[in-house]
Amino acid sequence: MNRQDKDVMRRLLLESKQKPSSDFTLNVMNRLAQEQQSKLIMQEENFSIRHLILFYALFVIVGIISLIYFYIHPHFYTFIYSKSFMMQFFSVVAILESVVLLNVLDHFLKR
Amino acid sequence: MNEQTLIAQVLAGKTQAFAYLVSAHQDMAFTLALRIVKNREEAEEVAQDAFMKAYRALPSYRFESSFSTWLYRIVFHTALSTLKKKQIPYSLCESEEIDNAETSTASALELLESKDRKVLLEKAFYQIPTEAATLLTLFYLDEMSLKEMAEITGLSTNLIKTKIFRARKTLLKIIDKLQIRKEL
Repeated sequence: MNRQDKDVMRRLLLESKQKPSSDFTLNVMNRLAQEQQSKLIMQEENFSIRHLILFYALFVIVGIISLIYFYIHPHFYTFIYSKSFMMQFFSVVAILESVVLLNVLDHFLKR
Repeated sequence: MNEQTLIAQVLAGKTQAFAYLVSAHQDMAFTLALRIVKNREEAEEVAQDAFMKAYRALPSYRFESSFSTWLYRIVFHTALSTLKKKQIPYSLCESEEIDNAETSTASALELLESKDRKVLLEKAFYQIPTEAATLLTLFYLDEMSLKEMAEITGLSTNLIKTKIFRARKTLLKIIDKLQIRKEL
């Protein structure tokens, strides 16, 4: 095939060049925006999961420290076994547990 | 604004700059996808997916090849995955009597000198084997070098040269056949 034929072929193929729909760029950019938005949501979700884990970790740490403290200072036994302390303690625990539980439920419902 | 600047802007977080890159390459990306999947809706989907992949992979683009070569490689592989999902083979049909074809470009063009030449060409591209259509598109339409084509397709330059020669003859033969059928 000589040079002239090659030019003819090029011309032929240029004629066959196709165009996508007029909103092609817009569609790509919309998909991109959607992807970035879902990435942002995922980041937020990861952030709340991290918070949740941190909260639980703190809860456990505080618990362990308290146990050690109570073990070292046995005279506190009398105090922590008192009715008023138990009431207050369990109320606070119940509130905190409900907040954490609601957070977990909210996280899974969002999915 | 040149491509390097646009890419730098996209990487800096200016997503809107990517729209310029898309509109600059959308025709070629779409044509290449269409030559492989042979369906307009699917080709559009493939081209869009390829642009999305390109956006995600942009931080790994090292400016070693031109942006178009890099992008068309993504389009090419995305289209191939689509074919694979549909279990359609991608290969150049070797069994046809290509070497015996007496078709010359000039005569084929003469036959094509009609108002519906574009339609005829499109029909020919739907009939030509996928690999042949892809190689012809890359070589003639985007005027890519054999080296760039080798980068995209993963074939050797010598093999590409042979395949282009055969693809050209196949295309002209199909054009001839289509024209004859039309005249009948």
